[in-house]
Amino acid sequence: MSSIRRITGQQFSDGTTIDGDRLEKALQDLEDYINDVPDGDFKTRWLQSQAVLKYLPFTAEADANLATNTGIVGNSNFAPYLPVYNLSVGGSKITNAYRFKGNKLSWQEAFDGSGQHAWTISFAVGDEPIIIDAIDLSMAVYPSEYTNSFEYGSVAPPNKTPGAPIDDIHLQVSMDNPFIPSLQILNSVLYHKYNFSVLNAEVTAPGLAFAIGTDINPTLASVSGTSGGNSLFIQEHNLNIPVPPGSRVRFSLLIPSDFNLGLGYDPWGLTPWRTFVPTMTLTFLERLERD
Amino acid sequence: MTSFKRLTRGVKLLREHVYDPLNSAIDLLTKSGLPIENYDKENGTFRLTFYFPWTEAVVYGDGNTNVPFILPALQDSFELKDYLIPEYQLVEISVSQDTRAEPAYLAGPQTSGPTINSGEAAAFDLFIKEHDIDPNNFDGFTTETYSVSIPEIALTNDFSRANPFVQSGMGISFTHKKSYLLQIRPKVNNRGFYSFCVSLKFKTALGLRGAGTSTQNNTDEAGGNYVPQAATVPAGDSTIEADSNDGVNTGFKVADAIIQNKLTGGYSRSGQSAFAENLRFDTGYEVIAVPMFGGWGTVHGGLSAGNGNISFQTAASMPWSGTGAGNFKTMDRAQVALQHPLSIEHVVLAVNYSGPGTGDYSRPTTTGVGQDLTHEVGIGLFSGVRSDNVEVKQVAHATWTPTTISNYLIDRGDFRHNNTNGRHNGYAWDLLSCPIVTGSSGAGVGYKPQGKPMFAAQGMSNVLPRVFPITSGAEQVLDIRWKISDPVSDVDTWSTTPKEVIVGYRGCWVYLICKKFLR
Repeated sequence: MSSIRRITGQQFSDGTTIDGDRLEKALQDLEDYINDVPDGDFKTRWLQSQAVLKYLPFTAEADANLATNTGIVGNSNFAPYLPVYNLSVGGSKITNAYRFKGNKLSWQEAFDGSGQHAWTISFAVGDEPIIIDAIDLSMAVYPSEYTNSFEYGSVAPPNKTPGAPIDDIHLQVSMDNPFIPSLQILNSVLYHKYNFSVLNAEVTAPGLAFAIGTDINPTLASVSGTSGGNSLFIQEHNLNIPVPPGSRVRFSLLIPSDFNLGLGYDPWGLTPWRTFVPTMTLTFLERLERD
Repeated sequence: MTSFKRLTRGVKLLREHVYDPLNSAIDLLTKSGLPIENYDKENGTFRLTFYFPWTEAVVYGDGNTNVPFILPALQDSFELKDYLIPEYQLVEISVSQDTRAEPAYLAGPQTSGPTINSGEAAAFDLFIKEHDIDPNNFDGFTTETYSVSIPEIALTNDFSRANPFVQSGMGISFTHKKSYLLQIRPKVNNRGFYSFCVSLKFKTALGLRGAGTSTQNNTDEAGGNYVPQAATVPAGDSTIEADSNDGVNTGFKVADAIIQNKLTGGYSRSGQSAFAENLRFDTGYEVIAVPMFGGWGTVHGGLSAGNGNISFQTAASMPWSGTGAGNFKTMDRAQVALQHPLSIEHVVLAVNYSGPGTGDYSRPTTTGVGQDLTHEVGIGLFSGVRSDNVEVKQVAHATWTPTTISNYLIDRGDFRHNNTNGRHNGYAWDLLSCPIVTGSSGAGVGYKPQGKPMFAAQGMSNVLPRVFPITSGAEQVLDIRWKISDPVSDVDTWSTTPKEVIVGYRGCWVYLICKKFLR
């Protein structure tokens, strides 16, 4: 028979004493427990927190103005994307030439990190552990300004078929080494989504027009150029990745940025950061706290 | 708190000495849910996360990167006396920037590339400042609530750097009566920050769900599912037994089994509650902060293409904007996934008129060149990701010109404001209410007239649709849109004395103040 040890150390069985002192002790144990129920006894003891990481990329015209006024031909506001490879220039000291793992694209050389840029957000966990529950990435495209077919075009990378959906987006979550946190070669990859066809992430089936039945205000139709486009919505949920207290975590989106003799590769071109509007939502589960 | 009457020595042992307290404990767990005073941990946490893809750093005046925020009470406590409204405590802060994982600062995007400048760093001070909420004056945020300093030496060690930095174990009080300003002040001129992220973690008391028509689009299960249980009380004067149907051990096992199965409250990911719930206080406070036009500099009328650089952009260069009279229209749009159920209680907008440096800036005025500048913000519940039924339902909406902005105004604050001519320099913000739409269940409460809170969840099927048929109870995404337009004038020809600001430096913000649920 099951015991009642969860709430009291007292045991009552037929054939043994069941006297007032022991009953009093059991009731007192129950009272103490019920007045201070620990959250460890809650099946539902987590609350989600959502961090929205979003920005609006420059348009081609804003970039052109920037290039003109800085005198740097082809200048583009690439922020927050940064090259994945840290090259030593003029003998400058580099501590983390490579800060990502397993991100090489099939057509790139193993030690050539010049063909990708990464958008990285880092985050430090304090005294309480968290659970990384979900990563959602909307890559919104439109008929104009921010356009990306998410298909290889006529200027496709080697071994890629024009017209095929791209498979060169990387999502990576890593955690710094707890002992030497700034040495990225020692980091641990907690999650890495790569080599996936974006067909899995399209908002609408290819060939179908994306149309909202009854739109809200402000309507997309009220700003010409915003209706349509087949965006991507990459949704990774139920990740259930535990992150211990004191950890440092990095979330990264890597996109191709090959120079390719000044042409870039389709569909990304030379300014891949300008081809979509991202909204990244990170969902964490966090514990309850005392007063 | 629960208190059982003590057994007095020598008194005859009656059924009520044992079964009354035992069943009162079981009632707490099964009849109406455990009250908050019986929880060991009474507080939930929420994060207010601010993200900047790039922010240029100028050691002057207001520091150049500033964002205001407020933490209003949820609708079910909004009209309570101040001392009854739960306070918030800042318990942890995380701050980070992307330096390509190098002990360095990076050259800005206005240069030929993010060159790594090793051995030097973009050091900064971070402040949170406060002032009283007052829509009728432009007082700056001058009272310091929190500050932290990250010197260069903390960012330049080869192996251990304070990036990301975290400070926890704090307990700094925040209140619904104040508004606050996050301020990032660089220590070294022109060393900007890439991918700058500040996450403020707060704690505040758990609360109750809104049942029935207190919330729009509500789930049928909002009232809670309680299945009362009880220990069987033996007949009077019967022999005290342990393991019979009405025995003492059997009675304690009823309580023990409930706890062994673990106590349940809140909603599942799809918005369903458990068959038999135990926790009455199963909701937390949540703020979803969404940057709009983030990454852009100051956009004001009269800017020519020759002024377009990293700190200023022309109106014509904004997305989908045309030139000529009445053709300025632009929009930013965010899609925030709804992973777990939420009840949207308030929407607060931070409208930015900031400009860098010592420029002479102004809000668009009712008589100035920007008198027809129109902002329109809408929040929708979107259903349609990888589905055949693409629908969106309006949750909140506001549209204003300089003439009508007072209809939504909660607070304003400027770094330096000239009350004579209305001009400002440095940061300048308005905090507005974006009212929740009012549905058939009537008005809610808030800073301005609005509807009741709006529940949203992914749902399982539309067999039992909630109140809104459009999304059939299958809300997947929060669709947030901010449109700015001028249907009358040619913004490129506006006078620049003063510079009437269309979008302030580093963009505007939308805050969704929500109730979230244990899971």
